[in-house]
Amino acid sequence: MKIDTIRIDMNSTFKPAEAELPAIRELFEKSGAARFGLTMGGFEQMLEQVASKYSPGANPQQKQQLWRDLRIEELVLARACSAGNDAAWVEFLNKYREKLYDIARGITKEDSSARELADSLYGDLYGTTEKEGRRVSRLNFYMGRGSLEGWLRTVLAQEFVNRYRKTKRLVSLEEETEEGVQFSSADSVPAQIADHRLGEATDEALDRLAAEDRLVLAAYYLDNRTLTEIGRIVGVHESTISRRLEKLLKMLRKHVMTGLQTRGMDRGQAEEALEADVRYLTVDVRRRLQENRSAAFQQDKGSD
Amino acid sequence: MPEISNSVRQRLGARPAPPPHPDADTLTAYVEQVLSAGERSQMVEHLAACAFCRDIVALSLPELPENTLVQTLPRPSRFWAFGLRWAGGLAVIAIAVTLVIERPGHKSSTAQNPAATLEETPHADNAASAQKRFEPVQPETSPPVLTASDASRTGMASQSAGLGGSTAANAPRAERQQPSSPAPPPVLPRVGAAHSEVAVVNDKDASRFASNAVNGLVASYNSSNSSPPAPVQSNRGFVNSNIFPAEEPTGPSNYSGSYSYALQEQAKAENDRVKKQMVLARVDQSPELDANSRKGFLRTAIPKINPTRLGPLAASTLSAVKSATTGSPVPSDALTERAGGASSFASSPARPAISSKAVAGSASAITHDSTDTRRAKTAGSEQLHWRVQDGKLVNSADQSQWHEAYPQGDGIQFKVVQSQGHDVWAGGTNGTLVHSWDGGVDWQKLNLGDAASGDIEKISLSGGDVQVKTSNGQHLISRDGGKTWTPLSPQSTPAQPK
Repeated sequence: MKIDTIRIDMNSTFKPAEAELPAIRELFEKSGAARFGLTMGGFEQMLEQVASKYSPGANPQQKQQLWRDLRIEELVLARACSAGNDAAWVEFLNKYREKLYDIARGITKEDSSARELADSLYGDLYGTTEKEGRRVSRLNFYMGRGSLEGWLRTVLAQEFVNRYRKTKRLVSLEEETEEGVQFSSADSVPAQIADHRLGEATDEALDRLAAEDRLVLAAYYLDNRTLTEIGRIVGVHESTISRRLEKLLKMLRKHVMTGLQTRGMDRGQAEEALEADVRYLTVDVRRRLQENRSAAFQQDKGSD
Repeated sequence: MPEISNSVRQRLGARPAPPPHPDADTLTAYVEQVLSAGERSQMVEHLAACAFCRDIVALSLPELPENTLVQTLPRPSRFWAFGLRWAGGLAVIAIAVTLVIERPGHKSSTAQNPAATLEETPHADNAASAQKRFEPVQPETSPPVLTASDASRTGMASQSAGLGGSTAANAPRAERQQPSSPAPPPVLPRVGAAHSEVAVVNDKDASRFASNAVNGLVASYNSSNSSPPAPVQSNRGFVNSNIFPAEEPTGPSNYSGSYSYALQEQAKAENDRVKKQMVLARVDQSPELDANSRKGFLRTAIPKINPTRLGPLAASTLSAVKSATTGSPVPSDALTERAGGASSFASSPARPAISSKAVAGSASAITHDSTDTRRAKTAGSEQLHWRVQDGKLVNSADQSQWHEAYPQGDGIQFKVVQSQGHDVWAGGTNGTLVHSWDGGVDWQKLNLGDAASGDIEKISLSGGDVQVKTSNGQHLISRDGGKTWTPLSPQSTPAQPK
């Protein structure tokens, strides 16, 4: 069904403040909303939706600043697509069709699964289901804070991670039921810390770190991200990450030592506790190596 | 980077993620750094504790533009980079020169250069055809030598393959790598035929020109007309499927167009080939070079990269050069190297399993083979003998000369080894178990699981099953090549090896 007029919320009684009207008119002109049949009223409601989500209770100046920072053209395009506007879809496909496949290929590293991933998203974007007589399109959730391309990238990544995690769980389950007790690489119970004081001191030391420091540690040691990737996630150069990691490790050790000593250990006992903790590291490294080996094993199978 | 303690790792991973998960819009805004300070700190707080969202953010990072990617690649060691650039460039020039010399009958492209004329000489047709290969060149300002950037783009660079040090850990994901920005076109003699024909290598001629491929390896760099490669491009370790750029190559300015010059060049190339072989032999036996230096120097023309990613043109050329440096014949299927393939990117860990490396020499009877020597041994014979000597894993083809087969850098003390054909299993202290499926060329470290403890004291191979016994009396069996291990109950009798 061709829909020429975009209806954001038929029942909304939102009326913008007088001070906001000039900004809204300016943005309306800039967005090119009229070519998709979006009325000024619909446009105002769309902006209010964004403001309610990101700046609830904000004053008009704050709202205007938020609106000016939006990717208004892409937001209008997305809403026009979600409403089923043909012209909008033509424009969307021209701009993003190949990009979508490229993004999917970049995520999955393989053509066939990339195509499948991208095609599955197309259905969600178009809105193949209806709710209360209205098309339910995933593009409705795009709010224009970031670029539409970036949003598509994130959505694809979410879909991919969801699928990967589901598949991983299924494989582990099948292996365990078929072959009895095994030492599978995933979901094993981690080795227990010998002394509860060490766990407490470690928790305390981690709590003292800034969230970004914990993010860097988690990304490097738990997720095995490269320094470059972590730098991009955090928004700094990779050499900064490298220096920060070294500094964090020293700081952690120092704080853990302090924590152990405040819990009744003397320096020698604290150091011994840390040494014993390193021995447990061997077990964890084995598990990590097994995970690596399993992945490499799959690669070898593929390449043979 | 040093490791963290187990307690830190556990507590770091056990922190509860603050609900709720941010939506795609907010995640995108974070990635594109358009969130306010308050929003960003909330997001970072969440990401620090939520592996799921961290995965999404990492996957949704946009691909880097070319020049940015080049800057983030780690710098290799000086010697390694110099040797690589040097040999890489020489190899390409040698191939081109050899093709010019060895493949007569190319039609002249005088139509493209109306000013060029062919001089008739009193010699036979050979001279005339040789003459046709050399045409007056366009004046140029750059020196007549293949630059390092071109050498990198020919696929001879191996930084992207993660050789050496922490490059494997820190190198960006290969799929995000793009070909380097265009460099000055390589200076190649105009063959007269289509430009792309210069790089064509078929298996039939491969062995012949491959042996000459090394001939000119030092030619340009030692000749008076050459200049050192550009030092800047060492980080461009990426493989480009196009060996040669699309631009029309121009000949070197010193080409006089004479047949005698061609003969002179050929003689020089032959001398250089001999010289290079002598240098390589000295390097191979030189104990003072450390592992990385030897590895880098010996493998300059034979990087460990996946030729399937190069494209057939580059792959066959690479294979030919490899055979020239090892002396072995060009394999009939030059494209099927074991290096992972395109699918190696799919869910591969950032820190891959251990791969084969050349190790440092020593004054003892144990010597160390380069990877290709090991491959040659493996390909040529299934009678490699294995044993453990002083905690090291060694092998020998004739039981007289023993070679260390596993990199020493891991600090593993081996105790037992068992082999069956190309399958080699070796166990050591702290439950270490390693496996090679190709006679010791590549190795994989295995995990027996949490229940296994102690040293590996015995290994039994029975068909496809592998059994190990530890110093703590545990018996474990794997029926899937070491992927998973099951403990055997005390009552069950281990299967007898064949």
